[in-house]
Amino acid sequence: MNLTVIKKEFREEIYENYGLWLIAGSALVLSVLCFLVCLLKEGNVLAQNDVLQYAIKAIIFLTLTVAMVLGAASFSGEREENTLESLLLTPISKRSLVLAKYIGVLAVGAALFIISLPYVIAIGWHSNLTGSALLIDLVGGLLLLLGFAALAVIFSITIKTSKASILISILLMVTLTGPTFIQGLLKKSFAGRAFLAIDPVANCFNAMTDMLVNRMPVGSEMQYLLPLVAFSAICIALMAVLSRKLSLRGEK
Amino acid sequence: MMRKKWITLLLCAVFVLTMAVNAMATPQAASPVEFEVAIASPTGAEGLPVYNADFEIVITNLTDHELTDLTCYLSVVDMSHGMSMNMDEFGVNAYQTRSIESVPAGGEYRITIPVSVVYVGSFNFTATVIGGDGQAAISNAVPVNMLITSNMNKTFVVAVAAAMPLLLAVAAFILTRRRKAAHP
Repeated sequence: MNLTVIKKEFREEIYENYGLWLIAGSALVLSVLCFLVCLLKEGNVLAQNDVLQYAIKAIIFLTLTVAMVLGAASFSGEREENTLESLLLTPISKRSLVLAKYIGVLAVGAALFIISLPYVIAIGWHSNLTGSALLIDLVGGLLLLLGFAALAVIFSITIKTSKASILISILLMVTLTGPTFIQGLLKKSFAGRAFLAIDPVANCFNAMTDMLVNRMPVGSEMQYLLPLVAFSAICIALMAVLSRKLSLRGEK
Repeated sequence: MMRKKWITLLLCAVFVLTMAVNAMATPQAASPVEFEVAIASPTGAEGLPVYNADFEIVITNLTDHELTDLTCYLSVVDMSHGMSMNMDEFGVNAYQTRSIESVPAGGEYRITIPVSVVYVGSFNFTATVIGGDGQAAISNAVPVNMLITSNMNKTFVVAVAAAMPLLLAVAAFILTRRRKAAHP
């Protein structure tokens, strides 16, 4: 692993790709949601664990969106700016380059999770749920981030333009996130149940509901957390394999 | 000028004629009350949202003849905010009017309307019945007080929500400027 490249990518994501402002913007979105829950009359009927669940969903959705956009633009952006050629000419292996970009994206995602912690603590204050909420936010969220960021980088490697890779990444994320909001409908059919069983976002949200509503310990959530681990591992492995295909023109 | 006078005269004539027709004239004396309406249950409620209840409405015929074609509906006033609310926010069946084909002389007719209160506040529910001749009766008001459920420390949440974006924006501004100064 080449630390210099990783540091360079990290700085680039934070300073040159507006990473800092993206983090501040994400905090603003979370703050607006908090204001709505606290100031609107309808927010009063929500129990504390409901608000916590909505907050964690919003945090995960925001983080994944930012990470997917950054990841999907990582190599395709370099390709469009004609800087990929010089990057490929450096004596650094393609796998190290891909890993450096991936870690740069993860850094922004991790920063987003870190700035969400004060919100989760404030919402769950005096509820005995703060620990569980932080655990699901960090563990579930990070596992999803690892997988989705890897997928976005894969799209960036294989697709020529950043516009197309970002679009496909966002579509994939919406496809996997959307069904979790209509779980009641999907559970009525075998195909729906099968999809929910393998959908990483649904598994993460189910673990969250179990821990925050049914007050189950994290140890009993392995049925949901193991598919998440498997999803992340598969995506990272796929990214490592496809890193060899990183080329100037993108794979056809 | 002459035409204007004629038109004014004509309008006055039409007005006088309209008032002369019984159906359009203001009733001089109130007709006797033919029916009354009351919400039998619940008599009131206080608790946490979501509160579900079947409102049982009783319409009593006070006359010695059958009453037909009555219409019954529920209304709600949010006393805590001083406004009326749409009944469709209190359940999928709560806003629908109920048609009553007939109430026998001296008899009663019961209607059950399911209501679901999901908001916090003090609500007064009333039932209104309108007869075929336009006569209306309003029931007793049923108070439903919904208390705040969340133990969330709102002041703390609002303080964090206000402080975080400001702190991060300031940090982003300072770090970006420092970076630009170091790498012009």
